[in-house]
Amino acid sequence: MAVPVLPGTLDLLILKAVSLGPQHGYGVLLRIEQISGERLLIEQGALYPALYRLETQKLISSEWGVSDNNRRAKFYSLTAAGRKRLAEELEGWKEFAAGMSLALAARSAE
Amino acid sequence: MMRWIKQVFRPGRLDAEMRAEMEFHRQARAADLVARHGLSEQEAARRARLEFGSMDTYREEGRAALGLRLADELRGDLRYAARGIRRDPGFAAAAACILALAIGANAAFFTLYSNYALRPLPIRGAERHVELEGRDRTGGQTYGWSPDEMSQLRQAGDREMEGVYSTSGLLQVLLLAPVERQIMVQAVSSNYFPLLGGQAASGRVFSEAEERQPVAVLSDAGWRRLLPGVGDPTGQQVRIRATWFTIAGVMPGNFTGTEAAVPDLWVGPGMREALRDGIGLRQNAAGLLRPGATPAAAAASLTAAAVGFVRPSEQAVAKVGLRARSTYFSTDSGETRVAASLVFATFLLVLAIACANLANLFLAKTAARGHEISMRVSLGASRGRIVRQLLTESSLVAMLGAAAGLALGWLFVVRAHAWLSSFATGAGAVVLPLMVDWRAFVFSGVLGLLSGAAFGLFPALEATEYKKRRRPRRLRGLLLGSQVAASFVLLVLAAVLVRNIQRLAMVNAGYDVDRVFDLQLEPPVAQVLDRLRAHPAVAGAAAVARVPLYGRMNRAQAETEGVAAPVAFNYVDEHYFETVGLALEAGRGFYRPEAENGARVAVVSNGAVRRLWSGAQPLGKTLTIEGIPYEVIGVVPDVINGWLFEGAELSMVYLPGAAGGRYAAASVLRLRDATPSAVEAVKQVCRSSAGSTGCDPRSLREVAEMQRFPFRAAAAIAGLLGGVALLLTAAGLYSVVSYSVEQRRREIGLMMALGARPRHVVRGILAEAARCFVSGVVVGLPVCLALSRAAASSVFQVRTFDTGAYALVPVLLAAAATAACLVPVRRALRLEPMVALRQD
Repeated sequence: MAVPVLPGTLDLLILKAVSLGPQHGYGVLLRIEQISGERLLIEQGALYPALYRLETQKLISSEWGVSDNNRRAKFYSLTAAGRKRLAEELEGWKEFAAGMSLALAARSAE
Repeated sequence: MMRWIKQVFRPGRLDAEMRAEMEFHRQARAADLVARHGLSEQEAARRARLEFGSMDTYREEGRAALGLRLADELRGDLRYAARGIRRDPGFAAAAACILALAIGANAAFFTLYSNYALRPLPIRGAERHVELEGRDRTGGQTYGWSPDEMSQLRQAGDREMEGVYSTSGLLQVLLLAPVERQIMVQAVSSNYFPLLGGQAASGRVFSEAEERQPVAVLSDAGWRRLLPGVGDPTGQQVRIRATWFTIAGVMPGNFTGTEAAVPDLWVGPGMREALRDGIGLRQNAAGLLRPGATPAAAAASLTAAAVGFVRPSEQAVAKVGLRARSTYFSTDSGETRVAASLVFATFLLVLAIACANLANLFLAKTAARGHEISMRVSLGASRGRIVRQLLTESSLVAMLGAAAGLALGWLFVVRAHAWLSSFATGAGAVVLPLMVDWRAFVFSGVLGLLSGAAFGLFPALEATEYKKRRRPRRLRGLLLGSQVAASFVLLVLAAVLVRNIQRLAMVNAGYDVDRVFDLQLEPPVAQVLDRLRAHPAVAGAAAVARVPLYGRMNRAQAETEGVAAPVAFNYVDEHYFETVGLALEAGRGFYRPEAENGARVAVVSNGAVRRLWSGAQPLGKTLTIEGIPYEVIGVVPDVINGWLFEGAELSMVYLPGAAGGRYAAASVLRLRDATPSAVEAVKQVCRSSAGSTGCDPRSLREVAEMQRFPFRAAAAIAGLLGGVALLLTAAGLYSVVSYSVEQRRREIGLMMALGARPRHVVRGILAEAARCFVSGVVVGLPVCLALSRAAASSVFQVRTFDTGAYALVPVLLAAAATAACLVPVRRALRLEPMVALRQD
């Protein structure tokens, strides 16, 4: 069953997806679905404001190119700053996830 | 940033890109749905649209994400402001015109300043270019350096100085062949060119060994002027006086040297004798510091050498100073800086008045828009948002004004430059072209934005302030007060200048400027002068080195027993004193043989007698000038030889010279009656004589007029600005008083109904205007006095305080203010009490 992504985690997912190779917006969406084992559900339109935000922060860069089906599409790729940010965020996420799991796995101390 | 600018001016493109990207997404999704889930195309398109969500919303969010909301708002504001301008073009045009005048004046002056004081010299290492200044024990300037001293300076400064060159500055001489005309020559040492990065475009520059040879380097401008149409002038010969100079090479157009005017020729310092520019052949020194060397260290090394120079004790060098000269005019010198900041202050003052006026106009306009503004506030606009919009409006108008101002300023600069050039060409100079560079653009733009903010901000803040209702009136009062103050300052300035012009017109030069003429005969030939003297219309004709009133006479160091002082000198022939009308007070004038042979005799002025001999009888005493002793044979009165505003040359020495001799290159003439027919007769005589050319008699009155021109121009500008300021102030007072009458109709009606006298009513109305007026004058007066003191202490040797001006201007202002108040006051007095009370 697919669940909506947690608020604030979309940026991280996009960075990750783009880090695997340049992609257009729809490709990013497909890739996230694919690498999450179709578990995560993304509001499709919301992808774009997030992409523009990341581009404004210079974490990804864009370029017009031609898609597989021979149509004009805008391709996003990771910048050096984006790569650095992705590494940091991953670190942070691991800590967060570990903390969450520990906290949620706690039992009453009897 | 680029995206931001693009968004303000070309919003469609980004939007289209966004739309295209999202459209691609939806279509790709639909295609997938067809391929993978086997949906019909119609159904797939519907599903894709649903899944995507509202494209408009996401596009809006996307724009915000791109940081474009501000740009969007700015665009909206700009559009709104533009619409406002279209709706009320009169207001915008008036505002832009006022600003254009003020910014134009600033831009014009800034362009001049930027060209001469900011733009680096067009030489290699301009930022390291310095001038060497010798100072004596008392701190006074010593004049120049001898060739031997130059080489010692070069050696002593070698560690800190990359090179030291010698220069004469620009010398005006007469070229005789291939064409006859006044030209500018600069005598420079041979290292001048390689040191400053000048490479001959064709031929070569002269070598050190050739510094004493008749070899010259032609400038590009000189080539065009003197040898037009000559393919390669290298090897050609030009004649200055008796000497034929061979052109060694031509400099490219981009090497114009270190002076604000381009010399036609450069020659070696050893050739100055041949140019015959008088005694005092010492050269000035300048050079380049080595990269990283400090001026202080260099000055110390140079001073160590200079104190050892063998010189008469009064001229001994105590210290060598270095003055940075990376631009045409050194801003290192206090005089330049004070003069420039005074002019800037005046022009900025004009801009301030303009802004104060516009603020008043804007205040009234935004007050009228109170309804619209309160509507927007009630619809949820923040105060900051509305202020921003009003500021956009004022800035847009201001930028229109700034653009027009820049154009206006440029027009003025072109005119001024043409005027300067026509003057300079007469003197044989090529003035460098002026450029409106990026600095002028930035300057005007910044002024425009600043003034837009200045006159827009107060009204915008006022319009969005609801609590304190009384403040607009106080603000208006403040603005008006400062306007009164500013127009006071400008009008006083104009009046002082006009008084100075009047004074200059009345200055008695000491001889009859209407009947004495500069003959402009090239060169003065003795026979022609003799023939002229025989003519019945001519009272006298004489040869002279420098005709009076063409600027300062040359200076030299003079010594008597025990006293040394700088004196001005001139070479004159035996007819000069009689021709100009200088009566000998003691002794005699020159005899013809003395003039022709350059005898060692001198005639001195009264002032020189006081200065050098403390007023004692000087006849028969010895006067040494630059090492040459002269016997004093006569005394003449002090007269004005140089600038009218500097007054009589107080230490003047006349040395003998003759037409065709070494120094006397010009001639003067006195007519019995300065009638046009007499002038024509003189022309006939000289043109029928062989051996000279030119001859276009010009009265010294005309020359004096040329001296007055800068004052006239300054007075005209100050007067114009002052007049505009006066008008604007009157308009401001009128609107304030009208407004106050309008506001207080009921009160006035009530007062009149209760039997108040007109006097009381008027007093009530005029109180505010009177306050503005008085406070303006009270503020303006000390500003004027401070300015006049600053000016007096530095540049202009003119009277900067004038009782008449200070008395007249307040009266004029008061008259204008009264006239401005008259109409609204009459309106108030004509109020029907009952009508006024029944209103509302």
